[in-house]
Amino acid sequence: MVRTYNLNDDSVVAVIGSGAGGGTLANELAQKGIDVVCFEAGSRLSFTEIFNDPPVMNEKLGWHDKRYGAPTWLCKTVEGTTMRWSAAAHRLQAHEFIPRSTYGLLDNSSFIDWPIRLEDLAPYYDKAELKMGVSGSHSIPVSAETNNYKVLKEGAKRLGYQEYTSGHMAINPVYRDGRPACRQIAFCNEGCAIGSKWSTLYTEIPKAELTGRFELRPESMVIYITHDNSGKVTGVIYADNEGVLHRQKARAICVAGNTIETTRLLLNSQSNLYPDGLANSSGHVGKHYMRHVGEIYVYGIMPGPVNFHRGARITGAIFDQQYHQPDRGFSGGYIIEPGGANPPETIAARFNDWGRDVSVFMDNYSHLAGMLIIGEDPPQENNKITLHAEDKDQYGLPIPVLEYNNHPNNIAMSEHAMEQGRAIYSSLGASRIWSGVTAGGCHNMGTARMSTNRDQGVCNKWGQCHDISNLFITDGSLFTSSGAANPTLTIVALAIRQADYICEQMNQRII
Amino acid sequence: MQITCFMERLLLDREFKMRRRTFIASNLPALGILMPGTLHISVFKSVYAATQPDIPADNPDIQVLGQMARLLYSHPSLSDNTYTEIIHNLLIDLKNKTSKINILKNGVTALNTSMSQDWNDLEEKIQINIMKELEDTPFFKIMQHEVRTRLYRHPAVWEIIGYEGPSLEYGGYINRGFNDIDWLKK
Repeated sequence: MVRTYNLNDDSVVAVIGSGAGGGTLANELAQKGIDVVCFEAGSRLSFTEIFNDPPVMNEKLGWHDKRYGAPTWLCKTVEGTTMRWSAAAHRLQAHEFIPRSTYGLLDNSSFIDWPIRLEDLAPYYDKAELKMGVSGSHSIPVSAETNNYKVLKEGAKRLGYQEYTSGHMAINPVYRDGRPACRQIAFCNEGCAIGSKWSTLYTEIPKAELTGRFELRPESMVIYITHDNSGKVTGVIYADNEGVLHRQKARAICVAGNTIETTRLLLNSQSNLYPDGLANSSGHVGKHYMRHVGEIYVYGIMPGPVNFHRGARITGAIFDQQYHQPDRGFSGGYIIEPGGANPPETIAARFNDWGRDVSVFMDNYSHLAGMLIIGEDPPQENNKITLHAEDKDQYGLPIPVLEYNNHPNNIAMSEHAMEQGRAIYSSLGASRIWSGVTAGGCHNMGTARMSTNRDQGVCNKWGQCHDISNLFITDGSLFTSSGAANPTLTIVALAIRQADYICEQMNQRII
Repeated sequence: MQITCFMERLLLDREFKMRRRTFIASNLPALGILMPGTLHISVFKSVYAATQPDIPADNPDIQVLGQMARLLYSHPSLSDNTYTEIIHNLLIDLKNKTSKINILKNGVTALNTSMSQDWNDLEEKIQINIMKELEDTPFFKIMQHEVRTRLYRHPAVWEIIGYEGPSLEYGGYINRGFNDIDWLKK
């Protein structure tokens, strides 16, 4: 029996987005007895709609609405980009919470320290790892070593690397939490057809529904957040799948539309009281847009078959380069992951070139090993998401413009990383190696950042907007720095922690 | 959640042996109605040639574009037929898109008129140089994208490069060589 809420029920918490942040927060609140309505722009797919077919799945679950500027690789579907993610689950490191104190203020960066430290988040990382079933954490076994991982590990060992694991994956290595073990279907980025990979669609959402305190409204695009004269938010206006607008009242609102849509919604929710959009008295909404260094790919034609298409797209990681070691010539670090094990057309497109130099790699597809590298991306005030002056979407709202340029630190880090990656494959006798920095766009952070001082960010250490106490940010846009790690585990940990805070504030009737 | 458990039992109850990769629907095991994509054969939505009478196979445009396709992404062991088949299917798909057809036709003219001989009569390295000069044109970008996409979804190409395609209907690669590497010396 699925609960439905009246549009005029202002006791509910409205969560915008059903992905890693929104789906997790909604479930956590519902488990605590708080009524939640979760709005998702995309539709709710079932397992029978998942195929091992990248073009078909991209059509079904990608976010294809027009955007200007830097490309993005995100989803419009119930479960958000957890449909598509590769499930790499690493914690941020202690120094990545204090980048300003650790690196200093790099030229042209807008680094500040987070308002929390690793110790504050550690118990929530524990909970997130157990919730998601992260391999190699707690008593969960590490993931099986794919051929691609074995190649990377062996090459790294020859260079003296010591910190590698096939764990740190939110993919069941064994049956757990009602979901099967991974069968190496190897189409992780097109939706896990058996539910081994953690994704909110078949974990947080159904668990929330079972509480009787949760309603999911798919194909509901929130276009505006309303507020009262005191400045508190009061509800959302959303369009259903026929474009008809509705208004849902709410006691509190948590925005988890992934960075681009969260930014856009805050900016579009202008009013007389908030002429620059919601939560934007500091002027920081949309700024400090981070995308990580990378993704960097390195491919090597190895002396024997690897058949990396037979394994999960990413398995494990190498951590030796993730630390802050400024004698390398840059601040922050990077993580090396065995990856890039995509179908041939994806890899050919990644090379972004033509001719025999590309087709020789494709000819040797069965012998390719691949790695993907991501690293810390300094925030810059001029890297930002803004609203287009004229172009509007189907609801009459401005389209987002994504401006992003690499910081010189990124260039130095990328060169080091590619050199290391090439050396790893060379040590194993690769006959040819390709390396390059691709456009990326699946990790988007920083445009509603947490800050201690209200004039330096958008929200506080709970993700609660400095300007509006019943408005919360629950996705990667609240990251103060990017760190090197893939962001999802941190998003989930922060959402679990935010739920504790919201519940306590509601119990005290402060919210 | 129940669907998940059922599917897991369904998969575990089957024995999925090593099979030689084929791309023919009739070789698929019948996995029952709950299995996604029972009719979804083991290839992506590739485009296959069914010879259409109104685009003759020996149309000179197809020969020129076929050779350009080969030089865009050359695989020595692929026959010319595969490349011309890809172009053939591209032209069929573009039949009602006159602006794109015109871009391709004008592109062929550009290739044929850049030197004193027809493009197909030139040496390969000269052909490549001419292509490099056209790299920024819409013609080149359409060709590069279309050829790359169609070529790397083509079953004949998968066969020679050793890509084994979708695996869901075979129970994944867990028992089919995902970790069988044997040449790494410690």
